[in-house]
Amino acid sequence: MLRSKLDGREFDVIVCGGGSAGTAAACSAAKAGANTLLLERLGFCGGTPVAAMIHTLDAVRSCEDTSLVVVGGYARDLIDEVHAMGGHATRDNPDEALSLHPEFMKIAADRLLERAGVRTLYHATAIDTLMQGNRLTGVEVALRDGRAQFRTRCAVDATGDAEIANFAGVKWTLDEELQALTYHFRLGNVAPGVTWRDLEEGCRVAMQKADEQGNRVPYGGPWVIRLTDQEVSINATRVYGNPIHPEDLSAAEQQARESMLAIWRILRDGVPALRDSYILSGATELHVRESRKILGEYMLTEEDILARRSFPDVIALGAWPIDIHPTDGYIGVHPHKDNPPQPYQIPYRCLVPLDVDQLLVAGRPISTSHRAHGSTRVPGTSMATGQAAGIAAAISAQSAITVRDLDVRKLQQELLRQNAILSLDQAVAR
Amino acid sequence: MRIAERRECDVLVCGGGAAGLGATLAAARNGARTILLERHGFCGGICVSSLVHSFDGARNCRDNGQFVVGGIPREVIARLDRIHGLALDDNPPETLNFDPEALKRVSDQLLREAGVTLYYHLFAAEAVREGDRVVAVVAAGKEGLWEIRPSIIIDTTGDGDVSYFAGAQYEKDSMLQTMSQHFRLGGLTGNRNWEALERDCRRAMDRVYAEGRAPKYGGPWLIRIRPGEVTCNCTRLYGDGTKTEDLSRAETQGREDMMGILEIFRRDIPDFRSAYVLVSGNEIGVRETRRIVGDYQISAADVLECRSQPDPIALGSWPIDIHPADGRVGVHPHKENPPAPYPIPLRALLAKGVANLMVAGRCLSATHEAHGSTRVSGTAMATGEACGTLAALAALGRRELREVPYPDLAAQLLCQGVMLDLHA
Repeated sequence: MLRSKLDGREFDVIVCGGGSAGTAAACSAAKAGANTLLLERLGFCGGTPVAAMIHTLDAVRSCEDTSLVVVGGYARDLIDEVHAMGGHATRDNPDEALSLHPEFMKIAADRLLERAGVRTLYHATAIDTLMQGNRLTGVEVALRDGRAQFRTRCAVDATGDAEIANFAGVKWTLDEELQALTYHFRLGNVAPGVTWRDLEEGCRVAMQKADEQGNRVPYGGPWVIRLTDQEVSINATRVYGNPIHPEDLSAAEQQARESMLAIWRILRDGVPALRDSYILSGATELHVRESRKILGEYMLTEEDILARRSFPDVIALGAWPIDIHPTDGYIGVHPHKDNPPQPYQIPYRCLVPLDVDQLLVAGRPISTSHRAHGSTRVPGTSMATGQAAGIAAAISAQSAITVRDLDVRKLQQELLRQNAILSLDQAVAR
Repeated sequence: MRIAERRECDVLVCGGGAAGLGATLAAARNGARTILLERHGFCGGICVSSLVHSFDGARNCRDNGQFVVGGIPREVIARLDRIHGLALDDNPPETLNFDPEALKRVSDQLLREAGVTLYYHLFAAEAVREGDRVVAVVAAGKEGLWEIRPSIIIDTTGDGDVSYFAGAQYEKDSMLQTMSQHFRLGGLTGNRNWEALERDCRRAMDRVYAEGRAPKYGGPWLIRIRPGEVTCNCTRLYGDGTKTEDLSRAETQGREDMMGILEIFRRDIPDFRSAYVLVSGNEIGVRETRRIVGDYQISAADVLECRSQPDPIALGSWPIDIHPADGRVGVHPHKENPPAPYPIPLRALLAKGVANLMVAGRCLSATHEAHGSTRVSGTAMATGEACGTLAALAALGRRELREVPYPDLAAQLLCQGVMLDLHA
């Protein structure tokens, strides 16, 4: 086996995956003093908001009261950086959505990582873990010039699909009814001056009408968001499959592009403002909403969310509704925005897997029930859990204490020092 | 090493760019059980992922009205046309432009029709060599590692990754061509053509660079998909695209340079006043890395003198186009004296010393200079088609690649409409 020139390096903390959770984890770990490596398989950071083109940071704002910001820290830094470059989207967007231009998100993440002193490797994919019994001691990485083993005191799995946890032997679940997959796409040459509300309404009517007339394409919503006037990004395609299996995922990617074309044709013919529109760009990859969920020290449930249960080891606030894109052939809008929860607490134990030591999981696959996951899975919340995982990993790496036995008060103190929001008293008006 | 799943096939193609598409379609259509691995969720390679949405080398650069590729590349172009996927006409005449989203869909459709087993989000991470054969490729994906055991492997990774992992001989120049982060701008006003815009972009860059306020740049060269838009080939990044650290630095720097260049365009050229970045490439465009050593190595003289070959399988036509890494900026001379279309020999696709490994596209066997011409996507797809066809003939006839008589291959390529000379 060919070894890369980088083989054998050591780090305090290795973060796998540069999406919302991973960039937050890496920056926060480095700010907490850890020598940190970030591995990202693509050529840019940002994950789902950028690569899957959802380009909103859902749940940074409370959905129950959209004037409240409930995720601070890294999310705040990223938003400020994007705004400073002029990369925010038009104001003409749904109230709960915080929409940012994906190109600016890439650059902002680069800059924040650089500033924090993170070592970032793009085009680098972890393909196995190095273990000593139940303790993770490193990752095996595929690079363009061969394979490398990187040792670490603690790793953060921010792959979205719990890939590292899977390699390490963490127990996980895969729901029988995984949420639907979506290929987001962006249309150009939209008639000027039309609001998102009118566009969304027009799209929904056109899709319903087409369906009634027998032109059946599975679709969700459609939901629209916008970067600028005369453009619109459409969340509508709906394909099914297991996103961790290469055969399913390949079929889904292909099917989704056909579906995009079919839906765009319906919208072009049915919505006057989209008559001259064209497909400006499809996403880099499918939007995966749900795959593996790890079994952690605690499993967050729907009851916890709705009852706003308080946890002594709170490390983040969630805010998104329980939003489960159905796979039962249901089309259109599923009820979820109607009764959004008040911001609720997420405990540290959801990030700590059973069975394996010195690994933390952040973002989509944290330990939750299928229903609770419908709320915790979004980018804003992922940034918050990512920030907590990064800091916990850094604290553990710099002491002899395992992530499982960590003094949570220390973690919370550092989170607050890095401007994270752990209670509604801290939630700030936007 | 834990293997999650195992697969077998006649022909394994690694990399779904222009070369990989040609290779996969040709192998499957000729009856081989064919698997294609692609690391992204779409095919098209640099044409899609790095926004080089032009089939360079498809046209005769001395006579732009004439094609020098037939077969699969022409079929892809026709399919693109059918779904309105070709770009507007206002483009440099030697290029053939298209909408990258359309190429994704056309690739999906053609691969499906050909009965290819296609795995997206899976990439070759290791090759297992036994004697003079590559017996397996280990591929990595979200599920873990897969082992694929093929009879024949076609390396269309661009960087020659599989050949390198398999210990095949390769060369890498001490001064590799520069990399570029291409970007697509929207919000252009006025209706000036690409030539006028390109001229103004060059003047602006030359002037601001001379004042010491611009990053390193090439060209700029502009191509277009639609009115009000323009795709800029302008950033210039240095390094080795097979070294993760170089690549990571280039990705980050490329994005910063893009914003710097956009600022210059906006300030200096009225058409760009409200221009904004629609999208940048998914990954940085890499022009040159490993060149695998084949049974024959194409030389600059072969290109410039249009030397005949005993075993032609495609025609090349792009000028020797080397984006300089010595610090020079702006336009380098290459378009002025394009070569006459020249034959590419089959032997340049056979990896030396490995019985069942072929290479197509950017990593085929050529010198640094000749590679400046063979590296482009139109030529890549044509060389891919030759590899796939030969692989199928060998696999189905239970012969080694080098045992298939050249006339058999040539006859089959001609049946597929491939251009082996200009008189076809």
